[in-house]
Amino acid sequence: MKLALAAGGALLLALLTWLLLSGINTNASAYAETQRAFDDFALAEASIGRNVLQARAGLLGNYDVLAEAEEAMESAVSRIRLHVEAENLDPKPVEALAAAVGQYEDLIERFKTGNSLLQNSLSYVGQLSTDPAFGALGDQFAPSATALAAAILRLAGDSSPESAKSLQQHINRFEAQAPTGGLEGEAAQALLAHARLLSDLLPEVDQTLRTLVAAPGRQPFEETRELLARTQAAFEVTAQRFRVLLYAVSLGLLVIALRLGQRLWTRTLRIRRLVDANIIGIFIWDLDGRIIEANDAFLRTVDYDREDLVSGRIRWTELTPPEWLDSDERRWVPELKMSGSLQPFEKEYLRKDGSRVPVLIGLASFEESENQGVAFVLDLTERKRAEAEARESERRYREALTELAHANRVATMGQLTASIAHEVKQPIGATVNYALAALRFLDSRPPDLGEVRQTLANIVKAGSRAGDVIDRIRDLIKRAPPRKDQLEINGAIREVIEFARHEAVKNGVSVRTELADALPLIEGDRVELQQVILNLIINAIEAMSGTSDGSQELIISSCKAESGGVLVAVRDSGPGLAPATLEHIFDAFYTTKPDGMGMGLSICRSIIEAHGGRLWVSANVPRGAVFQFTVPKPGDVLQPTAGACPKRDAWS
Amino acid sequence: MTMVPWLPFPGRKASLLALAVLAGALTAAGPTVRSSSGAEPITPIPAPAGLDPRRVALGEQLFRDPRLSHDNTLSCGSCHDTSTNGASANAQDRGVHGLLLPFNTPTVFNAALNFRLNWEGNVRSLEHEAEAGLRNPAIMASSAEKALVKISADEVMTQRFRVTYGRAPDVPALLNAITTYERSLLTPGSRFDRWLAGETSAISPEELSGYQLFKSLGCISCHQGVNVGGNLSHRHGIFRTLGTPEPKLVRVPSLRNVAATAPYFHDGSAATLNEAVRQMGLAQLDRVLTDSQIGSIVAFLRTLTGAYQGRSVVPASARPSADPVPR
Repeated sequence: MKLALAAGGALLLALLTWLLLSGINTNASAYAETQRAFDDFALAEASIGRNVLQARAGLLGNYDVLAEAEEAMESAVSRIRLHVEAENLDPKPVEALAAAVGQYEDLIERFKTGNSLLQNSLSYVGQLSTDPAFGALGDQFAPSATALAAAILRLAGDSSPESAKSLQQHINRFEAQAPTGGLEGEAAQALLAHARLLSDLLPEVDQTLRTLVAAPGRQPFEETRELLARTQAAFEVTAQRFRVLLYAVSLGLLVIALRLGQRLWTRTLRIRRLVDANIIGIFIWDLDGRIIEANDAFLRTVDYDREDLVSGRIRWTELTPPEWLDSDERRWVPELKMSGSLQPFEKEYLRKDGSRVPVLIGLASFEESENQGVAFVLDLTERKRAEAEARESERRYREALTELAHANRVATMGQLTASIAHEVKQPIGATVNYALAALRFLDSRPPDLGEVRQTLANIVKAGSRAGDVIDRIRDLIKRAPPRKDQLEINGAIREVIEFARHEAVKNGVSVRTELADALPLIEGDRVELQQVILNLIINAIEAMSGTSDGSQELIISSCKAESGGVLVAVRDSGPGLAPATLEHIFDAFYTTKPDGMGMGLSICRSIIEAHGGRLWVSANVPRGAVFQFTVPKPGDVLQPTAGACPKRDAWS
Repeated sequence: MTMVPWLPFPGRKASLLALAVLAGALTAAGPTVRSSSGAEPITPIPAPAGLDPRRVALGEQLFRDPRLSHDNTLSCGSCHDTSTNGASANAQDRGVHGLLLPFNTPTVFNAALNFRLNWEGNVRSLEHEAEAGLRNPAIMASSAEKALVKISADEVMTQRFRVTYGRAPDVPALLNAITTYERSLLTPGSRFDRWLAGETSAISPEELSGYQLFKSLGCISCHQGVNVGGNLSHRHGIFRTLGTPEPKLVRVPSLRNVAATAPYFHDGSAATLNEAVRQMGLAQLDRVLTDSQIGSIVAFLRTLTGAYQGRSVVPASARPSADPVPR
């Protein structure tokens, strides 16, 4: 994640940098430099044009300025050429420009050469009047000399073919009459030589001048400049596009950044809300034991105030009771370092006043620094108290239930007095009879000791049996806290039937059992389960006692419940139950019997439910009612609605 | 374009006066008169500026180093004696093989201010001149590359190049050192330059009238600018022959230090300045100059002698050419 973020950031930075650099017209300064070269060239060109005119007019002091202009031109062209080469542009225009400079130089050289002669000769003509040689010419030649000088002057001002022709005529005329010998002749020949020179030179120099002033470099200059301007414009357009792109990308990034920031802010606000709402305690810790930040809920839990927090007086190592510190260091800290978080667990903190507060705490270390992290703390004080109260209430309920059950058992046993008496009397009677028989065997001569032994053994057996019966009765009426034993349900059923057998016979009810083999052992209180079965049996017998039609049959069956526990069913062939009765039959104080308390079935259902089972009633086929209950075997969680046990034909 | 006013003439009744008027007009238009800006056609020599003294020193050493020639006999300084006039006293000097060179050796002083170099004006820069001089089989018969090999073999020189150029010797550095030295070879401070700068007493009235004559005769048409020449080419022998006919077009030589650079002309044919002035008047101006005119012009020309490193430029002592320079 971090790597991807860094790579993304670097990529973005590279993109922006690229766009920025592309958006800068990097050769703008070079172009400006070249523009200056163009300006320099134009200035030099103008300066040449101006200076050659001045030189021709004899007003230019010296030719150094022309040399400077030529050097400026060459320098400008070489700078322009550098730019053209650097930009890989068409070299033709700049070469044409360089050629034009060469042309300039040739023309200027020619001009200087011609012009210096020209000025020379004009100077000669100008000095004519002061020249002693001219004086030698005398008045005779003065007019024609003056006319020749005037023609020279005219050609100097206007080097048209007409002027040249006119000068030529004056030369010819003067030559024809000029003196040839002596001082006069020398002066005339000198004047003629200069006139001839000027006659040739003036048109030639002015031709050169015209070419120069026409600026032969103008066209290649404009072409080169246009080429560069075009190229530069193209560059600028590209750069501008990149700038627009850069702007767009930046704008996009800004929007993304704003939205991300907004999301982050929202998220922060949400988390902040959790912290500030003080629903749970939250604090930020480090492994050195410091508590860096905490909300009010946490401070309330440990009963410190914010000042304690700010001054650093709260350390979680000091909040933790000494006996917890060990497990903190051995177990939680290594696990935290390994996995970065801890599943919530319970521990205790010490309040400021030294009392203890039970808490549920969960931790997570920060991604960037595993030595720091955030923790939430739930104050478990209330929950612990509620749990304790619930436990106490449950205990009292169990106690009451046990009391009630006991009362119910005693009452039931009271109902069964006759049966119990019969049960007790029967082995006692048998003992008496065996004893009488033993006496008789002793009286016989010789006494039949074998028979006596046998009879005495029978007495022991009957006595034990009586003892067993009494034990069982005592067990049933004994008041004892419920126990959890592993028990075999069929044995418990059989014992109960023994108690009720006499009652059944008395009421003309036949009792049949359909007990399945190999039932799983169940866990529960034997006495309470027997109480339930006994209640159901007595209810069935009572239900059938009022009816006289048909056979009165009580069937007690046991089988494996579908869910894995044990299902016990008690069926009668009595009148059955009205739907209204079905609805309330397990309610407390609900009874259909004139002398009933209405507690029996209610207690039975409580007992079964305390065993994790269900007790319910339904109509028996073809008549009567069937009460069924399930008891799960150990480990079963909840008993779903169980079906009835399959009926068996065989008597067990 | 014309600056010359057209003056009507009184026909056949034209008189000396009329011609004088015309002449005045022409004179006014000529280059002999100060231009409207008041500037003289000659400008003072500037002091050398912006030169790296280490390069100058290295260039001077190379300038005097005979290893630059093919057979280690000649240095640049063999013909350009910077302790005197920047040239030699010979009409023509001799190259490495003892051959006479075709032209008189021009002075190296102020060569940096010339527009074109050589008598033929066919070299455009000092670098080209130095390079060509080394390569010319008649002069040094070597080349910049060959000279470089010899210089590079000298550890002391190599070290000096490293100190000066930050790198081992190479051809551009070699040529740059020599030409930087040559650019330092200016001779400012001549009396005429001081006069130009406003020191009216720097030249005598006679010398000043020589200057006026120099201008009025038309000499100034070619001999102008900072170097009093050196910035254009010209046919020589326009009206009468002047020395050897070749080359037809010569670069107008500078007249700076001209009093100290005899002999004169491209072939060294004029031994004295007076003679040179006389010949120039004839050949170029078609004038027979009087001795007083010549004297006046020469007086002016003597004011053009400047100083290199505070020492006035003096004529070279005559000595056989191609003498190895004592090291």
